[in-house]
Amino acid sequence: MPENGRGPGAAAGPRAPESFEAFARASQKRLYRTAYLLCGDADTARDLTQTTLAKMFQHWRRASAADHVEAYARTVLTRTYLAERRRRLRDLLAHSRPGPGPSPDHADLRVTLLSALAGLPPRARAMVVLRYWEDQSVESVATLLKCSESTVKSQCSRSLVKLRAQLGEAHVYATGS
Amino acid sequence: MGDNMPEDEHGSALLVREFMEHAVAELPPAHDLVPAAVVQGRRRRARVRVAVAAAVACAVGAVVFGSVVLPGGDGGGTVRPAASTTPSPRTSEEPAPYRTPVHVEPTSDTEDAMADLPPAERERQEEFQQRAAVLLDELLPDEVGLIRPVDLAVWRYQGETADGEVFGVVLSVRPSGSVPRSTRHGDTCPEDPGSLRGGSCEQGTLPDGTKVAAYRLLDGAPDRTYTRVRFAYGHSDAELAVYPDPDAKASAPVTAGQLLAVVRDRRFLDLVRYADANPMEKKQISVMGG
Repeated sequence: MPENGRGPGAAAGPRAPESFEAFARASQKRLYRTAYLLCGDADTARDLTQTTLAKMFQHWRRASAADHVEAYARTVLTRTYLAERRRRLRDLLAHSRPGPGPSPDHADLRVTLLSALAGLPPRARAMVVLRYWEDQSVESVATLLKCSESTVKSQCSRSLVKLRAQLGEAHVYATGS
Repeated sequence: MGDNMPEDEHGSALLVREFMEHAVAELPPAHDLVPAAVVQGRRRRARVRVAVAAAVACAVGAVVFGSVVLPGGDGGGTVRPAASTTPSPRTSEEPAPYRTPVHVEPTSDTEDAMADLPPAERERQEEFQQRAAVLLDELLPDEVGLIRPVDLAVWRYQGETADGEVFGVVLSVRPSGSVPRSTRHGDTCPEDPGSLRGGSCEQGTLPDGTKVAAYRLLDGAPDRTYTRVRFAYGHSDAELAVYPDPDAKASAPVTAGQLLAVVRDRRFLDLVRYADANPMEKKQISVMGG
């Protein structure tokens, strides 16, 4: 496993309450990266991160009293993302027809990944990001998304098969060239 | 990640993780999101308060309506004064946005910092700075950027533009001490414009008739100017100035006329009045240079 320098698992340990600004400054980069994998573009990720931090500020007394403030923030981020996706889907259905997604045969690894992730339903995408980027256990993801552990396992398994089908070819292409 | 995971699934998970590493590595860095998040968070809190207040008002209204209209109520023929529909200022008021102060370390032992003030006085000055920053942001041209307090002194602020330009802003209300008012400033523009050495001056008056003169002057470097207005107010000397960004080699993006408009604004004068009545700066011990 390559070291990514952000250590989400390591950062999720218990911590003493601190000022909101100290927490936010220490966490914003990690949240931003996770948000990027959830939404797929930098601008939306920035908005999502800012909204997450704003919600943390709004409920800071409660949030800072949590055993794992980072886990609390991750939960806020994921649920905000899912709520936003539901809202956007309603808007999309009401006002426009969806256009074509990004080209799946793009050689760039980043675009390939984002394209593959975009092919997953929002909840499945959130499960993948939480499990394989944030290193969260099946139990944690199930708690966060308010579903059963078996649902997390089966969704992640199906998602991995889909992602592998797209990423595997790109990976061979990228490393072979 | 690999808790009880079949081997081929584990391999897929590692592949996905590898792609994720690549994707975030190419992610452009985001600027500091914390100040904006704090402002957004305060607004969210305020909206919740307003919603709660509205719900309470609706509930009270429903009870009053029920007692008047429903059978058994005492509304039969009784005329009651209408409930006031004027919203309470407390519930309808949006909180002022919070401007995260810019931290500047004192550059010498003789330079006082707000951090050294007694807690109550420091809090008062910080509150004043917040009010001033928000108002200056509204009154100064957009080109000055977002106005934030500087935590070194109550009179220091700075404007930051989206392009990264930083303009020093001064809002000072300083007790004039024993300096005679007539010798404090040039309240009128000089008769000889040449004395301004390429700068300019614009004359104006405050609502109470006080004369003021706003200057746009060269800042040492050619074609780089700062803009300043000073005037006597009560027992104080007030000054508002915007300075250039030396790093960006950009002049203060404010004209003398725009600065005059700011100091004539009633809300600005309210701030000056408060600072005059409740001084936050040390008394002058000599005549300020013009």
